[in-house]
Amino acid sequence: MTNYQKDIFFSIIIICLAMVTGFVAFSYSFESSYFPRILSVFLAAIATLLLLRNFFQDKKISDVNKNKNDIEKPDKDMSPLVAAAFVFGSIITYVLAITLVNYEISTIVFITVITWIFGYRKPIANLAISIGLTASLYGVFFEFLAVARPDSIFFY
Amino acid sequence: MFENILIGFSALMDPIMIAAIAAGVVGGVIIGVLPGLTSTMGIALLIPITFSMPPQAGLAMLGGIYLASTYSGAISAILLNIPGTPAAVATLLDGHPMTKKGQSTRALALATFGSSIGGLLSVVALLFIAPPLAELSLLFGSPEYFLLAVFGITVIASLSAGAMEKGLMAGIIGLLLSTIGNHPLTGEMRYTFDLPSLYDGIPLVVSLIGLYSIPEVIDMVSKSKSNAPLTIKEDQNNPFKFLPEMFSQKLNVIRSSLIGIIVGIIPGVGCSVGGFLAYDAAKRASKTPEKFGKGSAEGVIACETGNNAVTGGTLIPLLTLGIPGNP
Repeated sequence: MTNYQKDIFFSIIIICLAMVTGFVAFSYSFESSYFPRILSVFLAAIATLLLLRNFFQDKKISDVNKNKNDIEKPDKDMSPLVAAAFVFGSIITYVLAITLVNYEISTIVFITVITWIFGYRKPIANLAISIGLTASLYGVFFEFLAVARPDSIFFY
Repeated sequence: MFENILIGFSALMDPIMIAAIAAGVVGGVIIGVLPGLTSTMGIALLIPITFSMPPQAGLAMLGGIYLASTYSGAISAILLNIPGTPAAVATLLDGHPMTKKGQSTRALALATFGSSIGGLLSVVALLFIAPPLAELSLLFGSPEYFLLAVFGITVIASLSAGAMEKGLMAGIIGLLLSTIGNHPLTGEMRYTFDLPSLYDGIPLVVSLIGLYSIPEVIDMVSKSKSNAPLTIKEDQNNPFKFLPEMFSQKLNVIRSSLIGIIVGIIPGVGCSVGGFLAYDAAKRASKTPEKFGKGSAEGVIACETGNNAVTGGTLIPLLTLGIPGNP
């Protein structure tokens, strides 16, 4: 995707966002919502300005400024969307595991798996580091600072 | 007054005081480096430990935690592109690009020296001119806060040079996010969608992790196969090599410290604003503003000096008027 296409896509997304926030803001009383109303209008206006500027700008000039990363992007890189899905999926899985299984077990497994995925392929070292880190966190936060430990359904 | 200062210095000779300060500094560095734990949160967590201590030692330890955590947020900002504390948000603009250029030792050394000088100057201000500065802080009313907010918007313009529309849109989205939650005057809930966790708005720590940590992790995951490991090209064994560079930035250091102290005495503003304003002022005054955002040492010095100079300033309204300077 060129910078020209990115700007147009971004402008359209922001205009949609401004419409949603504006629509919601106008459903509140005026006293509570005049600030978000004004902000939504401003947001839509600036996004429209960016959109129009991109339409009137010569597309070729925009394409000259094509992001260097787009040109030289190695094939082996993961798509940012897939990476984002992976990161959010991992976080959701970890939080669910804490809620269902147990904080300590989930943290040890999570750190071991994530370090493995990031390319540290030494299972014993990965496991030792994850156990050590979890023990340190447990000691500092739950024992020393007496922070409340997250409860779990199956193994307390 | 000088008699009291001498009493303070003599109290510092007590080994218990030195141990308390050292423990506070070590704890503060750990708290500051960990993204998600702020200085205020660290102090709140460690207050129970001071209950069994003499009052002076407890205060000294809390001071050590506060100053060290404000500084050490820069360590994770420079090395990982994730600010450890909100105070270090401005530092990552130039700190991490320096790491990418193999200058992490230089960036960390300059951040450390800048933080030390900024913190020291603000403590001097706290010692000698606290009462008049406290009176000045009382003069800040709604118009002054409004002007400060307008000034913040000019910082957006300065930081987003070349992409003004995108900078303004980002600023407006930030303002819109700040309207989530309970309206302070009418009590009406806005944009909460009946979720109790949004009633008080989006917490600062959550937004910091969402805005900085998560995108950095996504970037690391997407480039995990092609990214070459970062190397340290500069002299990694001797951070003091960069001390002369620090002293060559006298004006930058003094300006950033003054900005930090003034921001500190304004109740409720805090270190992150001090860092950003100092960074913006340094960029405007610099002979090479085009280097800012691409790994400029001036930028790192300015924001680290600025945000640490806030620390002593925040204690001025706190100790003289009982109003916390840092939120």
